[in-house]
Amino acid sequence: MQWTKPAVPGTDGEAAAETASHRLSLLVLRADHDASIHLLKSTRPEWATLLEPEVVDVKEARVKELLATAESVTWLVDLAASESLAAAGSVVTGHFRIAQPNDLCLCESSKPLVKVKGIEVGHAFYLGDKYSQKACIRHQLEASH
Amino acid sequence: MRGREFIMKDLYTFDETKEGAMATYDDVCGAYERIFQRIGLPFVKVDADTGSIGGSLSHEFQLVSTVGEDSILQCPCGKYAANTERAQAIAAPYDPATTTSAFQTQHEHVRSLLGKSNVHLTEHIRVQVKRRRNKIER
Repeated sequence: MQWTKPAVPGTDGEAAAETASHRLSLLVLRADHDASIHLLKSTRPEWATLLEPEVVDVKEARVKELLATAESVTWLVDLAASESLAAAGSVVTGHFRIAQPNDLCLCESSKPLVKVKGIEVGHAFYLGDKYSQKACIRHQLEASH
Repeated sequence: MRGREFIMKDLYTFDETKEGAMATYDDVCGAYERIFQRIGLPFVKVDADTGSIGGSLSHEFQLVSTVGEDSILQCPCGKYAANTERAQAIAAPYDPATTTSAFQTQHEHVRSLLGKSNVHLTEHIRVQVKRRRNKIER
């Protein structure tokens, strides 16, 4: 499995081929917020291949150009930009922005979050079977019993 | 951090079941906490990204310091802390003073592009465009 840029019949322009080979996601954010690539990618596995975002003024001709050539269009609406949780069709709502200091914690206290700097002194991972499956660990365990 | 020279210890464990692995995960985090408590290091346990290592659950132990290079959002209640890129919260009210004018009130235009969905947009919004590469299997 690998990435390829499919050829587009009838065009020989690099830009045209590049545009045509993409599915488009438009992310609606509140004006004072930035997208969290991490949260976008972790929300849905199929978004793991999202390219870095291009921030555009939606009135620009560029948006029309992208919409016209996109293979499919998905609207992603951040919760802070949406007054309603109801979504229909290809509109997905979720927490897609980078949280900011003074945003309210989702815990019972609902206190404003504080931004601090930290030095990583320890890190724990739950890896599932990502490595043990490849190394046939279960097979080896059963063989040794 | 990764570009620096430092001393670290690694520990790898294997469990037969997910439940067993989660119990081990909690044991390891507990061991970290006791080590830092005993040597008197004020730490924060932070919901973290698994990154390229993979897996689905990860916690960092962070020493809060002004010279630190990791950004953390922390609740004063002490129960929640996360790497900024992972943090989820309820947005503070919109303050026009902190926002550049270029991205204000595109509401009507986005509304018209969005069509007949049930999403009601707030007044002050911006749009980011993301393109996804097509995955071609050979």
